Amino acid sequence: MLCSQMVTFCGYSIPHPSEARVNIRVQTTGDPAREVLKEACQNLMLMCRHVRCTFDKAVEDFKARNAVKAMKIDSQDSSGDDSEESE
Amino acid sequence: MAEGAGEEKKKFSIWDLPDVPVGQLPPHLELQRSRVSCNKDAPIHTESIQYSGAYASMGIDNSSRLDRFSNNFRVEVVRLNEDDMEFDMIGIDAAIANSFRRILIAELPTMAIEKVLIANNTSIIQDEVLAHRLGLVPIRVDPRLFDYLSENDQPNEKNTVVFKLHVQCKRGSPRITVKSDALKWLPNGSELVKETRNATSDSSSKPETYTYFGCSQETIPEFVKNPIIPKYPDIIIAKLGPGQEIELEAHAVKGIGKTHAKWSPVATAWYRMLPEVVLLEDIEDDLAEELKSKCPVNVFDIEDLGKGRRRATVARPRACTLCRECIRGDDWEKRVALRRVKDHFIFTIESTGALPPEVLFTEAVKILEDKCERVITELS
Repeated sequence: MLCSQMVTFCGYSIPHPSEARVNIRVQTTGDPAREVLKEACQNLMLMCRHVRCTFDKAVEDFKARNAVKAMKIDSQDSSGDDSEESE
Repeated sequence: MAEGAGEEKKKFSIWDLPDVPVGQLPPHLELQRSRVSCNKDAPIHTESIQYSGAYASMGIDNSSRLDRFSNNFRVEVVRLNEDDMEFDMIGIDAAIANSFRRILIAELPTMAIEKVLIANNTSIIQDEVLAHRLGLVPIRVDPRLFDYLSENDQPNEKNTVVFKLHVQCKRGSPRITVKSDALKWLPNGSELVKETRNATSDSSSKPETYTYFGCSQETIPEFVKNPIIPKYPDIIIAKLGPGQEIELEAHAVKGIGKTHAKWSPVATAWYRMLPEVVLLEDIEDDLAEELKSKCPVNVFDIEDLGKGRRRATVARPRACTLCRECIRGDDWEKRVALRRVKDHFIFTIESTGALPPEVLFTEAVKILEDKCERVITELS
């Protein structure tokens, strides 16, 4: 939320650690603060989705790369060729 | 000085000079914004500069926009095993990385033994100690297939997993160690019969037990392929001497790490920022040898320049543990700079076995999304 251009002040405080309560203070340059907070939450949600997509793709790529490497090593072992560095 | 500079500014603007890069911060400010400098006594510039107007006087827009994040964000997996993984997240803010770590530790649900019904315990391990130890045993079952058991619910096949432990050490035989593979899964529910006051009327129907299973859990397809067992069969639960016996039933329910650490699905999860080791000046010959021998993890290497001259280079900055040995002596701080990159996180997740680590991370991100959604719906 700090990064949004409409926000002049924003902060949070936790009055007591035993009770689950957070006070958030938002001060904006004219727009309603509630909308700014909502927009920040929506941005965070979109960021999370992007993180998830990127992470899943990276894990798939890694697994595919390792599967290929394992197959190459297997074929080298079975055919008994002279050692050749894979990649 | 200020007046002179003011008069000069009216005549020409610094941006008109040909070699000043417009739209970019000068190098020393960029260093302050994107790196944590680890000096000999303490790190500086540790906070991330998030305020949108921070560099407004330089003409830089510091506001974070979603498209910039989407373009710059990358994930690279370094190591992925069945139980642990290490991956890099580049381009993300520290607060979000920390929230992922906290959710992984405290808010991902798992199944763990909560209620232990002890029929007979003549061993030297006390009842409550035995129950505590059983609670900490990790169970290899996907918690997403189960619901939470609240106080008003009855334990049924959708929210409870029942295990049985019956071990006996006969008189005359040597001591035995009770390991976690002695826990047997009961897919049909509890076998201990509840004592009811009016036991006369329902003698034809099944006796009431401590769980109310509608159907056997074996019918669920996932459990046909992978029966529910503890993840590690060699965890020592108790030791029995001759003549001692343990007979109990353990009920496992779903919970989160916040309530009790036994429900935490990760052994632990941690991250560190990528270390960056920079040689501020050329280090040659003897000094290079000295530098290479100082570092306990061999971050530095010597390269030959020919004519017998050698120079030190930074070979493995990622292995640096920031022990600061290389800047310990006199003058070394001027030659070597230790920094950390503020938005490059090396995450390590070690799972206890219920779910593989990549699934754990995906679930943690989903939980953060759900929380945001809840806030948004409450606000509207």
